Amino acid sequence: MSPNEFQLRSALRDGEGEPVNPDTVIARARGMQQARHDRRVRYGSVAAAVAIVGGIGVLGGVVLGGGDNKTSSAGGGGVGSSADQAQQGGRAASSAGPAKAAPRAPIAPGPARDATAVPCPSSPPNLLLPGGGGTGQFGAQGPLFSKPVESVKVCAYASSTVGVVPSTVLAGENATNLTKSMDESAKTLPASIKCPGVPAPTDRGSLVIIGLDKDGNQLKPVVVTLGCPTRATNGTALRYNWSPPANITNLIIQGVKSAPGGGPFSLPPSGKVTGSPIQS
Amino acid sequence: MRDEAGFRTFVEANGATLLHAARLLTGDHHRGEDLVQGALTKVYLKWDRIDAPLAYARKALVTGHIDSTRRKWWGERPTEVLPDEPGRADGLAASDERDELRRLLGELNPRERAVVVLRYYCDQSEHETAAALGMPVGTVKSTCARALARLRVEAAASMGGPS
Repeated sequence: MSPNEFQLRSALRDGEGEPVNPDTVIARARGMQQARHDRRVRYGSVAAAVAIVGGIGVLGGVVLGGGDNKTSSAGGGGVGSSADQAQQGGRAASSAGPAKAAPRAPIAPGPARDATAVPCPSSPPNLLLPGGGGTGQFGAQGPLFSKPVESVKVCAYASSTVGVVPSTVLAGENATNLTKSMDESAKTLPASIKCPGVPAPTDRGSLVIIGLDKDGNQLKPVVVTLGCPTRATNGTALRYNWSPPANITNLIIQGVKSAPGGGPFSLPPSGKVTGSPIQS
Repeated sequence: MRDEAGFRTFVEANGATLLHAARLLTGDHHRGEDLVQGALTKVYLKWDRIDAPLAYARKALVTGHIDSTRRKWWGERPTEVLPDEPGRADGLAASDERDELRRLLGELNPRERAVVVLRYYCDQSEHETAAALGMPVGTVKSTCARALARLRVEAAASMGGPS
């Protein structure tokens, strides 16, 4: 048999006529649409979750990176700005354990903090003096506080201080006068000072002065080594023979004396060698 | 909003023809139903965007069939129990000649079968067939001629001699 076109058409048409139920097709199409929708929602949820996690990661990285930048800028040479100079104290700090506590004291950005909430380091940071304590070193004549301060916390240490560190807080004009008097102290070692064993310091105790700016940000602590000569440094800037104004001296003495762990306390007059300022 | 009433009318008017074409293409009753369901589902999903739904449905039918023959994985699912295989003459009470032609049609390759079905069952012109299959008109002509020649030879051989 060789089929002609008619036979072929007839054979192909044989058995036709069974209808298709449109409801079945529509139900199937809706099921596919729903499946597609569910798949899109699922992928969207996953994408959103990934985006949120990524966003949090980036945000965290930026926040942490911002903190790192502040720290790393200290290693950048500290040329020029007073902030850099203040930060250089971190690099200048010695490797002794307790000495690291204050330079790494957390900086609290944002709303103004109360200086009373600033903790005193358990021992004064051991800041290496610029140029080994010599004068004329780069940055030594810069400001001790990188920004104008609104309040300061004064922590007093004797060689025998153990446990609670007596401290007091000065705010407003008193804080400004204190920091101003420090910055205005001698930038070079006065020739008139005669100390036995100069330039080796005769440690009579220490003060750590932690300043807070108007935004509540904690500035680099300034360590005042009382003795002959009295020296104040933030690790970069250096001042000699500091003596606070009389009213500030009284405030510090009274505050430290009445503070927990405090006791009789004195600050040496400028240019004179005295005994231990703190008699605990 | 999709025009469901229009789609229902379309399926009621053309569903039987499309289903039979699908069965001719696949050579199998149930796979033909699956094929036409898939093609009509595509039509439904694009109902508001297509101008010639019947041509679109035919094209979806033949491309779906050719695609299904490319994907061999669906034919090799291991099962513990062999499925019932419908008999060749299952449900058909037509003449031997017609049965034989349908059987021989199943022995053509998918593209040849699609050309024959579109040309001689759906009464499509060579140009329309070429458009549905996405091939040149000349290829449609040559494929159709080759398919008919094979049908003649096979039919002659199966019936015991040349015509």
